[in-house]
Amino acid sequence: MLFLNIIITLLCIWIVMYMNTAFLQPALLDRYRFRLFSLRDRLAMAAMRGEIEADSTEYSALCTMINMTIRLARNVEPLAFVQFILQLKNKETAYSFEDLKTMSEAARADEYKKIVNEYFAITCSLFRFNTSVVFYLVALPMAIVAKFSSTMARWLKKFKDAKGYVSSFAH
Amino acid sequence: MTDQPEPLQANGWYVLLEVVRGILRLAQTGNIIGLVLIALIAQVAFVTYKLTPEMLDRQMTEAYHLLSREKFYIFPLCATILAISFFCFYRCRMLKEEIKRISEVRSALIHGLEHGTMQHLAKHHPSNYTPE
Repeated sequence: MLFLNIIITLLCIWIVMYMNTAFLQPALLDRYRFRLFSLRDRLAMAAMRGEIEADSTEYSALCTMINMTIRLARNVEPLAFVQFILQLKNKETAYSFEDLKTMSEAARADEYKKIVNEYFAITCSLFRFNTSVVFYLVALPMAIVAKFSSTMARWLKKFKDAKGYVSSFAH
Repeated sequence: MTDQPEPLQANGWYVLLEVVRGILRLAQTGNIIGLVLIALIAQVAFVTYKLTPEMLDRQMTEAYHLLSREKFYIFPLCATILAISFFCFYRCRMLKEEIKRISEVRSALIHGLEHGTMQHLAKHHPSNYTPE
């Protein structure tokens, strides 16, 4: 009986782990993707109604940023999302958050401003989703190792920079 | 002659770094259960190390009796069924909401284009996203 109980328990743990990786985690990530798709649809419909000019830089910039975030909304590569936010901060992409904020402030359409604000809020939540488990669950070992490893120290600094940057736009 | 990078020395700090990297990867893929298992194993190892031989013998006997019970397997099986039911329910609800949203957008587009309140977009901006 002991052997059977142990086998069944281990099998159950493996099934739950598999289901978590194969179904729950992709579903949690899809929740953010769907919100971004919804934002993009709202933006396109506002352009079709003539509230926003479809050939304007504001429209193209927001579409580009939403599309980039949809493509990067995955948690396969460790710290890929941190890297993406840092690229925005260091202006290595065509548009940055600052550009979007400036365009949103100058825009006349209220719908555009609302969409930009929601985009910042979703990106901030996505950043937390992609990184919080990694950084808060292993924060202590990382902090200890960072004292002795320059690589870990660099990672921690990058994370703090990206987190501060993305959070500043979400409020 | 080419400059070959010096092989890393497998000292204690290197092993610790590798362990942290492994945990990071585990957390990144959302395998919280794997992390909980590691924490449990570490705790059992620590308690076993700290216990006296007499106490350890008693604990092991109790654990043996618990695992040897005839109906013990019902608990992990029930927990697994509950967890799988939750995963399926969550995913179904989310997909239903998305289908509802898409149908609303489609309906708004058809009515808008029919009544002339909307115009076709000259340029489309695809995300080029492909599901994994």
